[in-house]
Amino acid sequence: MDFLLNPFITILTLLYSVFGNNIVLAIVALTVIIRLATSPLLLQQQKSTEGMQLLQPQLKKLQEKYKGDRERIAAAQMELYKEYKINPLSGCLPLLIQLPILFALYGAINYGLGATPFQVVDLSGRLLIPGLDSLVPLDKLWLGLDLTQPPTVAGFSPAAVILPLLVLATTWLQSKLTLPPQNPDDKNNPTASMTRSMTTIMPLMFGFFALTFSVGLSIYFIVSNVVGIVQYTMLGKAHWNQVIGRGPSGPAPKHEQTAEERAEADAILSRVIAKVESSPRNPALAARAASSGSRSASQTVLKTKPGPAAPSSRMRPTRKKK
Amino acid sequence: MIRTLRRRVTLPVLLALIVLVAAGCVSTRLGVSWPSISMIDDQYILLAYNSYLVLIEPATGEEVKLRDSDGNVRIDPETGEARTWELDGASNQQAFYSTPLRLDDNTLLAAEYNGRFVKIDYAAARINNPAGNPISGHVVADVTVGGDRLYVGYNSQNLEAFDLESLSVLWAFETTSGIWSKPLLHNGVLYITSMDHNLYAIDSADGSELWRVDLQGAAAGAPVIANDRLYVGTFARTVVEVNLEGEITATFTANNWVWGSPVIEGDIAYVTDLSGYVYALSVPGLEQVWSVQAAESGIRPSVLLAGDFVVTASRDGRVTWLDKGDGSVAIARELQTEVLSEMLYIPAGPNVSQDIIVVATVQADRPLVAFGARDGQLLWEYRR
Repeated sequence: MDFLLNPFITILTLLYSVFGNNIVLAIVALTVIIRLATSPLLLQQQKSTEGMQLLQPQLKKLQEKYKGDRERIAAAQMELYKEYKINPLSGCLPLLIQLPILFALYGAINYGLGATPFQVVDLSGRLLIPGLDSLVPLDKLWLGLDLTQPPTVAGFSPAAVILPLLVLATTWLQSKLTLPPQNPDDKNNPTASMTRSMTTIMPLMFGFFALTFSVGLSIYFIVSNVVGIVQYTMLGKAHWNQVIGRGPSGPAPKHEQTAEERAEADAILSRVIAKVESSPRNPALAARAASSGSRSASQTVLKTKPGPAAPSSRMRPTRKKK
Repeated sequence: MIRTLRRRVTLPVLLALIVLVAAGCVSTRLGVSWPSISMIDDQYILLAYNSYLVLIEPATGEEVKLRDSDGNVRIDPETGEARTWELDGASNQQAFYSTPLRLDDNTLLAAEYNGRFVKIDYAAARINNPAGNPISGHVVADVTVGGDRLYVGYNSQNLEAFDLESLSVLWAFETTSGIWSKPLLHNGVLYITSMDHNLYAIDSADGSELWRVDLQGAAAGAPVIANDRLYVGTFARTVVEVNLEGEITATFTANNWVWGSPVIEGDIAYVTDLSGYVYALSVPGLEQVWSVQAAESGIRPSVLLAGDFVVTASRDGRVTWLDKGDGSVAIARELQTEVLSEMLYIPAGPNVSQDIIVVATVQADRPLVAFGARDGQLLWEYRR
């Protein structure tokens, strides 16, 4: 824990010193630094999301072909991702990395602005740059609010209402702007509907966090969202039409494939199918699929049941098309 | 080759991410401060921690039994068991980190964390005024009594003087940050340290400021006085010597924050820091006589002096007896829990057969442990 937390506390205290003992500016600057540092991950996430969207037609075809055979569908999906050099996990990676950063920042705000003996004694030894100790305790008051406390701790002041609302609004705006445009085909797609419901749940969740956690963390949420919106807009990935009323019901602009692209996509799909059908199956899963009574699954098992010398080893090295 | 490498790297990276997520889960303490222990009438140990106050027998570590006017142990009619001296302020949202003081024969006065004075019926172990007398801040430090006045420093800022009888405010003194230590009253002057980096001298009659010294760092420990010099530790990793005119006359630099107050015996001041070091410094002048790292983790409380030993207790639960002459470790005991509170020294007398040292821990179910002051022998543990 300390290896992540202590540098955050140190940087926060250093920024506090740089900005003339202004803790709010320090939190804002730290948030911008974090967002900029994690922007390569953001790009990767965007790339992955776009790639996944482009693969939807092929995925659909595979799902239809292996209907009822989960093992085959999963194997085919993985082969397809490999062919297109897409890592399905890279979409989650930025979230996974941001989570500990969020916790560390929360800890840094709590420890850095330590208001009680217990919190301050835990701060000792965490400041990695000599001389920063003399800044302790950091000034924790801002616009009459104690940054270490939830906004509602001293009753419902205007700021106690405004801050959670700002968190909610900026989270909603960011989610809405980054939501991929809806295709008419997506209406019955559970993944697409889950993504859309997240646009509602996430702002409410973060609004609740803003009411529950310290004011300092709310400032982080707001700045982080604003910087995120600016980043997406600069990358040209922000779908402002979805916010200003021309979406999201309108269909996504379809990427018109050329004949050559279509042929290439079909070739890749054929390769994937060939590879999947030549691969040995997990006997346990195969048995389960067989016993499930699914006709198509049973047929697949019979068709591809491998003997002792399965042809897979001979057929595996299928080269990617350059 | 790259694909193979990626395949090999994916799992460790995922595991590392899971560790990162777990590492990021920052734990925060539920309480505000640590237990406070003191002696009441040189007879019982009074432990104040979070919502409760309890009296303990120093000889055995058992809770003191309540007795009626004839001296008979009171029996709880519901449980049939002996009633003990304990009160819990949880239902009134009361928390106790400051040592209660004896107001009169049968009343204790506690400055409660959530901004109230609470009067306690000592014989019955009952709070007389559950709603309390409101005061203007949270209290974590001990209060000081001088004549008919009471001086209370607040956790966030300021100090107030109260009339001890009416508990009305006589005057207030403004600081820009908290006061986390007991004010020192000497010859009508109050000396207070503040987290706002200053040592203040205040006229106790009217609260006017006589002088202030910028210590260049927060000061959470109480100042001590010896030979017309004040000594105070700071978070700027220093011990500062100040004369009674408010001039810094010497400074010693430690390895980490100095939280506990220096303890002075003769011409030596013993100081601890949050790196686990103990220093013996000559006074006046603050020249180092010896220093030793008594623990791997920090030492928050001041030392206790017991015969030829300097006794310390650290955050990793190590209680150490150091030789006064050179700081060499004579005895060490492990408590396996964090110690942040000041220790209590009880000399042999009618209540205890030998000198004992009581250590308060932050462990909720084992808040007190007692050792023989001279031999480090474990005498008892108070468990809840």
